Amino acid sequence: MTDTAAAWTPERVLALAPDAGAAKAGQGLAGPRKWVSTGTDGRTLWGECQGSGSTPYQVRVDTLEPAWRCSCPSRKLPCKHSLGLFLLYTSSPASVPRADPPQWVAEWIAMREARGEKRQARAAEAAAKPVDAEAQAKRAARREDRVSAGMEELELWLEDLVRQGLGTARTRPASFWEGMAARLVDAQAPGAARLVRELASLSVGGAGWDARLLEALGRLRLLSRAWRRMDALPAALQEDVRSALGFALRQEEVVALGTVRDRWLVLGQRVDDEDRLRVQRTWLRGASTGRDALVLAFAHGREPLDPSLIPGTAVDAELAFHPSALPLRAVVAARHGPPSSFGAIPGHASVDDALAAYASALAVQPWIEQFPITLSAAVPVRDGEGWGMRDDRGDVLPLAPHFARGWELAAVSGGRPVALFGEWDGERLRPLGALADGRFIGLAPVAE
Amino acid sequence: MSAETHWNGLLRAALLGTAHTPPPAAPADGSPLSQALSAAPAETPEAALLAAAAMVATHRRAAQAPVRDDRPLPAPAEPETAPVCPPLAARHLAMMLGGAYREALPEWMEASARAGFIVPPELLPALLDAAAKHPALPALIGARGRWLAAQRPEWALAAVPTRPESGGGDGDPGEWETLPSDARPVLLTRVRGEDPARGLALLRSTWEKEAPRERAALLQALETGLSMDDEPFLESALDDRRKEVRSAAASLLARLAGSRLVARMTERARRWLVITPAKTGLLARVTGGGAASIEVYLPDACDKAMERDGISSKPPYGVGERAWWLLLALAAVPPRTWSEASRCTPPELIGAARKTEWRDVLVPGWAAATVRHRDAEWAQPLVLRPERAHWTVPGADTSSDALFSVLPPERAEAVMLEMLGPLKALGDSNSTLALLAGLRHRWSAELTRAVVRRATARDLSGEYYLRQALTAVARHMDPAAALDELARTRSASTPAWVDLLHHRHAMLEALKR
Repeated sequence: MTDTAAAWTPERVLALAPDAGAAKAGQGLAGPRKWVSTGTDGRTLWGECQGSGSTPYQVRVDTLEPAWRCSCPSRKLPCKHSLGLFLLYTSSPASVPRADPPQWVAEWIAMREARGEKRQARAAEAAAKPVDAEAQAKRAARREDRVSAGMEELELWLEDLVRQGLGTARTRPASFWEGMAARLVDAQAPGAARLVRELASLSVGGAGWDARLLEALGRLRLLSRAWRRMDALPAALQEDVRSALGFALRQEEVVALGTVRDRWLVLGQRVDDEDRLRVQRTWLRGASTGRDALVLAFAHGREPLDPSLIPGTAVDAELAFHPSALPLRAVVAARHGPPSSFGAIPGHASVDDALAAYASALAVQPWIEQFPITLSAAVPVRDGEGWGMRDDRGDVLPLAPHFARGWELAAVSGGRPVALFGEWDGERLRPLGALADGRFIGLAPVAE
Repeated sequence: MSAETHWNGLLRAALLGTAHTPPPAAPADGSPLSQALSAAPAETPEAALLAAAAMVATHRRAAQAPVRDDRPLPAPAEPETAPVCPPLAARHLAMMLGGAYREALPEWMEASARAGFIVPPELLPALLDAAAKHPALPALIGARGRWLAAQRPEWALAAVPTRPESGGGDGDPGEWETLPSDARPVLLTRVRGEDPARGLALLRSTWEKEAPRERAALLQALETGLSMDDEPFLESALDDRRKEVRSAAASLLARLAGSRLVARMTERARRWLVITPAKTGLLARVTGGGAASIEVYLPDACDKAMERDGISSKPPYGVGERAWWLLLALAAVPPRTWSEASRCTPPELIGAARKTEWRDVLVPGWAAATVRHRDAEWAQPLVLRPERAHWTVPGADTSSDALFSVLPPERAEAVMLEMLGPLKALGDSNSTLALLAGLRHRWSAELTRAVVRRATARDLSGEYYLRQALTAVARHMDPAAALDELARTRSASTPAWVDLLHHRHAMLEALKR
């Protein structure tokens, strides 16, 4: 068995903590005296931790994924015991001896392996024979009819909106936008519903709201037009239209389309709240393919988000891309090793190159909302109240005005060029990570 | 017609509504954009507007040019000469800057500075915000930190080197004078910490020009590195026009046993206070008059000389004028003056004072003097039997914490261990707990173990006050000894004070070179 546990460091483990409280408590449990027994087979760590009850908690950590299982009642993932054991191992490996897994650990490993095989089998099955193709086609046709009706209504609504004028739109109550969004949900086009909700917040925005709103209206209508002229579109772009409207693919379907193996650098991660849903966006970049990838994870309420992709680390993994004219969204199909560090990010040499790449991307997929940009060498400069990234020709890419970590960025650069990764929304770059002196610095907004 | 003009036309029509303002016609300049616009089918003006908006907006996005900035770039930071602290230590610092275990931040800063580390650059902004005035800050921020701090007025202080590249011999008047007024006393304190004489010279170089209201705060900075070298300057400050300056100078001089002010105060107080030493021998035992006695003779008026030495200030409400004069005079006189003159021990004198009607004045006055002149012989009896102070001496601390801090650490610990000896559990004596809180040095393993053993003797889950007090003292314990002692209890519950110990232990381990 490969030794995957050794690749972890205490600080990397602490980065897995779901909150500061768990990190604190985990550190408190990282001493050998807290543990009745511990062991590892090189990949899985296990230990028994004396809690307040009579029987010790049984803790298991798979260092490859990573994944954890603890018999304690905590709902945090990982819980303080899992973190404590992981920290104990990384800070003093000698206190976790090599051993064969005891039964309660072996069972867990076997169960996880079985689950993994089942998932693969399901993927293969999904690829091989669609179940009851006829019924499925009927269902699909019914949904497409609904979406078409929804798009027709949306277009009339949009036209009515510009007939009355955006000035009027700004004074509309929330129910005006919400009503249209709800009708689109009924029409089984939840993606379009989300775009309508975004119109609502644009309509009450600050300076420049009118231009942003008009642009969003135009793009939304372009989407509904595209739906109505689907047959005339290239096959890949059809997939973008479908996904923008809210047609989802199952993970197995995506994986069945093929995977790309690379050493993927995790360049940035941010979490957005959408209603009660938290959406985690993780950007990866292939070290040898140079491809960008966006992995989404979702969590309801206070559920933990997937912690397995750690910004600033690289993973040897296979990604499967959602079909698109500009494939970005991806799922992790398989991992082949624990996270490692990286010391360079392949990126654009100049601001001009980065903007040219964006223009080419728009040419094939006009609905891009966030475009990944890596500048390989630029200096953060003060730009009025905000910040910009300046390349060696003197061209400046403006950073988002709400980017609050400009001084940190300036500090790591020291006035010298750094590599910077961020999301470009067409006007401003929202930095998510930087590499300076071979060290990665996460720049996503700090979670409250 | 450019795309920009066309976009503005579209925007105008959209704002007002196509019902009033028809959308502009597609430009006919033969550009690819205009051709695409003309080719788009449009059933209604609204449809035409939205289709054109989508096209032109995408065109504008794709055509966005970078902003050109031709200003010369500011000079980059100098390369670092000191090593950055290890990643785990940086992680601990980040946690504390984020709000967890904030009370251990000063300890981290001192330990890291001692080890010769600087902090990783990404933590500089938060550290500069959190600890601008900490004396260890300059050593921790390195060249990068000074470079960064120089770019933001809020951080200006950190950017100033403690050793000004002086042109005029008295330090660098340029930088010294231009700093914001709240930063100058901090810088002066820092300079005094390294070289008191240079600090005094720096202060004197601009003293005549200082605004009266800044003088008192600057003068206060002489507290660091205070010595008889400062005496002539302070003595002259007693004639300053502003009262705050005079009283700041007086309370600094009151701490210099060799100062002229202390000599004058001693001369005065010895006239006012007459001590009759204890009689010894057979006669005393027979008559029962064995203890020392104290009599007080106070003047009727406050003369000019008393006023100059800082005695004239009006007493607080409820305090007699003459009692106030006595208190202020006593607070300046080295307490051993009294034990030496009367050949009585401090406990005997304190006992005698408690028998007079002036006990409210005598004991607090001596306590203030004990702290000022750091007299351990006096501090010990005062700590063990504290007097409730009804008023305080301006510029002097008479709290039991301050008195306790006068004792050298080993001696304070010996006192503490003696008090702890008979206790089974820490909660049995509130006064012991209160005194423990005053022990601000890094505790020995012995004291740490003695306290931890008594803290874990009972279940504390219901004792909120005790747990709070433990959290306050846990920052002074020897973490390794405390954790070792705790491990014997095998309790998996980790109250806040135990968490803090774990954190401190991990944090100090991570800073070892």
